[in-house]
Amino acid sequence: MSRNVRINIAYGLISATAIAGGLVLTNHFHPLTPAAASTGSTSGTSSSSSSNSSSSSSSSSSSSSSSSSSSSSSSSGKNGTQTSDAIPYQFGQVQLTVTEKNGKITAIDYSNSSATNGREQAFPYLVQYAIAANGSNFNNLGGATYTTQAFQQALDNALAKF
Amino acid sequence: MVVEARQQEFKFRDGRFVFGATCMGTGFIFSGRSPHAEAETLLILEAALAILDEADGTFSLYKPESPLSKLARGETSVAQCPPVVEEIWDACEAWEKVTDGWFSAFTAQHTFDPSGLVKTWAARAAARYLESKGIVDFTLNAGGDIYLADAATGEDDWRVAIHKPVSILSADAGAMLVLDLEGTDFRAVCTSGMAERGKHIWNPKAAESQAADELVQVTVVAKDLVQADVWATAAYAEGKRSLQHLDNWNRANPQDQVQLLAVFPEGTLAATPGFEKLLAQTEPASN
Repeated sequence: MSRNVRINIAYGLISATAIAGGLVLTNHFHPLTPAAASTGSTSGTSSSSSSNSSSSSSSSSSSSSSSSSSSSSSSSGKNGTQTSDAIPYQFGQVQLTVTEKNGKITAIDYSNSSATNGREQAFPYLVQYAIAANGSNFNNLGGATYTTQAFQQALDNALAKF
Repeated sequence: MVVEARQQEFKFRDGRFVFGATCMGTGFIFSGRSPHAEAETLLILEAALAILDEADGTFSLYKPESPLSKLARGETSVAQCPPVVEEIWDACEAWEKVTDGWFSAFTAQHTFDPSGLVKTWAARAAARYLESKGIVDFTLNAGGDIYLADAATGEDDWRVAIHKPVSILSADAGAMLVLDLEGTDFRAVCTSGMAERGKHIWNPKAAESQAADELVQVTVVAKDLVQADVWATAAYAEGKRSLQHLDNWNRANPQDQVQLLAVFPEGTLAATPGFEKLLAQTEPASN
């Protein structure tokens, strides 16, 4: 099933579109240029070859230019592995290999993504979990050191649970 | 000089307690379950608060008469200060080495400012005091930095939310992510950022004082409260390269994992690879 999810995080900048066959990370604040997203035009990074799909994070190789493109590839395949287009964005490119089992995403390999200075770890799953965070129960809310007014708010919260 | 009246609140019912008090310009909230009666529980909590107050009195640079203020003005030496000053000094030096210089208590003006460490150092001491008095089932929110006692049993104690990189007083305040640390070794979640206090973290490697601003917020999850706090400050100062830095650290120190979540100015999230496992997977059964 395809589902479109959009969430405002922080300043409302990231949105993720998860589709059961491909997964694309988009960043609405710095919109992607669809033309460049199409295929090989991405400069540099896309290492050719080695289409082994040993998902999981560590392997730095993994497939590349096979493109079961992003959104509309409704490829009913409930099992298997698909690789998205290499999507360029402001700081590099994102290419994801999604493994599905029984229609459930079991692994996402982003190891062919690249970026400048650590941005390669801007994982789409964070966006997905951020969606789940709304309404979750938790005891403590952590953040940058509270001012005393902010502390009062945190304390009120804690007392309200009593 | 304006002396703020202390806000303090205590609630106790059926062994459950919440105790909150302002100190160090922020506030501390202990909440959990006590094996003691109400009066004794309050005594223990007030003694823990006294530990925080004592640290504040010694290390505050806002209080002109504190030993640290005198030290900064050159009116005294470390040797003449209470022994705890030397202890903190040594700890700061050690952490500066561990973080490759990204945590530094020595300012561009060559004064000693351990504010980045004192709050959680004192909070850890207060938490240990509670544990030594038999209160072992609790969490502590030390002005936004969270400590979980080993024996915390509350349904949601192990679920720690991370706030969006905005002040919790702002209109769009709210949780950004929820972590579930149950079953892990992690006991501390510390956040540094400019949401509450503006640009207060400086780049220790710049020649002049220069605010670190590559990231708007970082959250560090670690075993130890002080460790998490120090790395959060260091990562904020180092900026985006801190992700690689801590990834390298984790590979070299498998027994001492430190996980990092960074928020970039444009709202993008990034994290060290091990962070994923800490994200809450499902809604808890409560409610």
